[in-house]
Amino acid sequence: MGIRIVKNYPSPRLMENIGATNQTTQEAIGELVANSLDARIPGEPIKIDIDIRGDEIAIIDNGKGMTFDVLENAVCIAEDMSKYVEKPDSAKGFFGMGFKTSCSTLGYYYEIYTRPIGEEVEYHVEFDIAEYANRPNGADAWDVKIEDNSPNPSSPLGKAKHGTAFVVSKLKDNQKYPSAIRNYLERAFKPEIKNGAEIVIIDDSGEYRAEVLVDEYIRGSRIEIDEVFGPNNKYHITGWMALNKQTNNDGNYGFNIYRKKQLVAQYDKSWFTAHLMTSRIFDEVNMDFLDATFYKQGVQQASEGWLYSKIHMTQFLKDMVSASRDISRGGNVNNQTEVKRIVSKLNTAYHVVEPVSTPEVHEDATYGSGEAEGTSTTSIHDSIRNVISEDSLILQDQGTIQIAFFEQENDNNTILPFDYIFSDLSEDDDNQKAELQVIVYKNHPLWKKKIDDETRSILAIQDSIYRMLVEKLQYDSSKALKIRNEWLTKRLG
Amino acid sequence: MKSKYEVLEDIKQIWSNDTLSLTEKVRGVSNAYYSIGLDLLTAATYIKETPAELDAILSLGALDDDILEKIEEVNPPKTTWPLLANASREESLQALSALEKNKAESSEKQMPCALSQFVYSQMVEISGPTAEQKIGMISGDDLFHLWKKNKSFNALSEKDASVLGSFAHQRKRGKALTPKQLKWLTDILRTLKDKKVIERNSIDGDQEICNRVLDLLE
Repeated sequence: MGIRIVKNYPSPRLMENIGATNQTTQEAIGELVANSLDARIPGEPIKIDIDIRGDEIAIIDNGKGMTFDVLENAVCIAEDMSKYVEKPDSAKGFFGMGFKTSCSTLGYYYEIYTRPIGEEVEYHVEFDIAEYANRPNGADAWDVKIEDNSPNPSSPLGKAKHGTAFVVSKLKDNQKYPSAIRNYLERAFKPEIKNGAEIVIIDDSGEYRAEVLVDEYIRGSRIEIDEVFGPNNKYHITGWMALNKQTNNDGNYGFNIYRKKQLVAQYDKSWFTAHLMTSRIFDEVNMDFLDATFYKQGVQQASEGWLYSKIHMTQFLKDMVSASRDISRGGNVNNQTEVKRIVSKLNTAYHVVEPVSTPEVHEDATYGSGEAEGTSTTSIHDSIRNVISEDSLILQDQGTIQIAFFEQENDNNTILPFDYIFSDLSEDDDNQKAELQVIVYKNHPLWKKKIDDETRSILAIQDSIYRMLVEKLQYDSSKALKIRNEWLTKRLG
Repeated sequence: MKSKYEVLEDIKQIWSNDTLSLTEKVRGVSNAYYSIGLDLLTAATYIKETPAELDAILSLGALDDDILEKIEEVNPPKTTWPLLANASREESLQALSALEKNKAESSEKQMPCALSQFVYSQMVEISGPTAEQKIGMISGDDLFHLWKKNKSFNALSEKDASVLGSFAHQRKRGKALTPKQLKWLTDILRTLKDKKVIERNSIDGDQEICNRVLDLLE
């Protein structure tokens, strides 16, 4: 028991600078959680607590802990850790910058407590970033002290036999939202959580377990995959793909590839061009024919099966890619009619006769219930908004014509940008004026151009006035034009 | 099966037959139109009406008979048909009753606005404000909180995050948002909801704000 010294030689300011990243709090925590997942003991469930109570952030796992040798190398800057530790298939990082960057992102002071499996010892290391930065340059400037003691129940590891705890204090950002952390971890470690990893966020208000993320995809966009290809049809890919309700600018989209139920590649994008517009595509495929070493070689591998898969699946995905792009184009995702059209086209392309069941979809108002659209759920707000009276039109021989204007969502009339209904009540009802109802059809492509609301209404109304005069009141065109122009001048005046 | 021309001629006959009731016209035109693959523009051109007028009568065809009979009884101008066809039963009944009442009471005076606007305002009394109007009720403080919270979630694009901040300041100064701004804000709030920045039973100590915003958003 005692203290051992580890020599470290970079500039003292490096430690401060490596924390000046663009990592968010949850991303930094995610990096530490990834380390914990890498440290799991095969065949044993891994549990990771993220304790954000008070002025600290602690990430505590029940993994195999670090032996002195591993810890000695871990505290060195930029050491290739794969030389010292055996990582699981899905290991996320090998170079020893992760925890230092992440801890330095979170705070100015951090400690590591670790109990290696099979040893009755607890190692403890502390890093005081401010203190390091003030050290002079020189060979001893980066010395790191590793204390070894008997396991202490009052340490963050409590009574655990093995495991590691990172405890960060003097936090740079005291604003900690447990849901932001949980949501991030649920996305980043979905396969691990699905496979039983237990990640719990502990806050002053309670404990919140990260759950298996339910994918929220656009209704009807899920397409089953059952593709056979290659020489003598020797390759077979099964699974499914769908379009996410959101675009993803965090890279968390694409294919999760499984080999014999084991995740071998996460968010792979080899079969389509990665772009924000295609970032709705997500899916899970089973490719049992892949090499057992696929996870090591990754998608760079040149196996015949992978090469055939790439050619075949790139072609297979084309319509899904188009649909992702179409839905991502300006405003389409919020336009229920447009979404339905795109999804219907997608289903036709993949020969889906009936809308496929979408058990994982999360319903919300934007996407509707998809049930029979009975009148009981219809409201005027669903398709028509803001009926507004406009400047009336006064004709010498017809009297006053009231003008009103509204916008309508309408599937049938996308051929027209606007139209009108004229009701001449002068003969039926002396008390009521004739009315010109101008309707702008919001779905028309013309309105996808940038045009302000007032210009749109004036454009539609002046055209409707002209047409009404010619078509309904039999004015000759030159007179109709003159009246229209007068109305327009008055309206703009 | 009748030819396209014969069907168009049928529609024309029904449309111009003044002895038919509105219900008979609606059912007749609707049955003929949908009996064969017609398109709105061709059919409207043939009967010399605007596509919007033909569309309005076709839309009425989806209504229950009792509502259609009530429309016939009140006989509102056809400028109101698209509204009546797209409203809920309750909204339509409210508007028709108000029209009837208005007709009886205002024999001496004229309506100050278009009847379609009157019908719409009656419907809104039943349906409440539009989704965007409700979004306009969110306070500047609540928007400011969401703007701050988003910084931790990084759920919005840089542009949307900055716009949310400026909307918060605008509301804090007591200024209303324009329809275009409200639409933008609605999209932003939907993103925040989708990315779980705003959720019911929030565990971030901001349950009241989240619930308040979701009540208006949903």
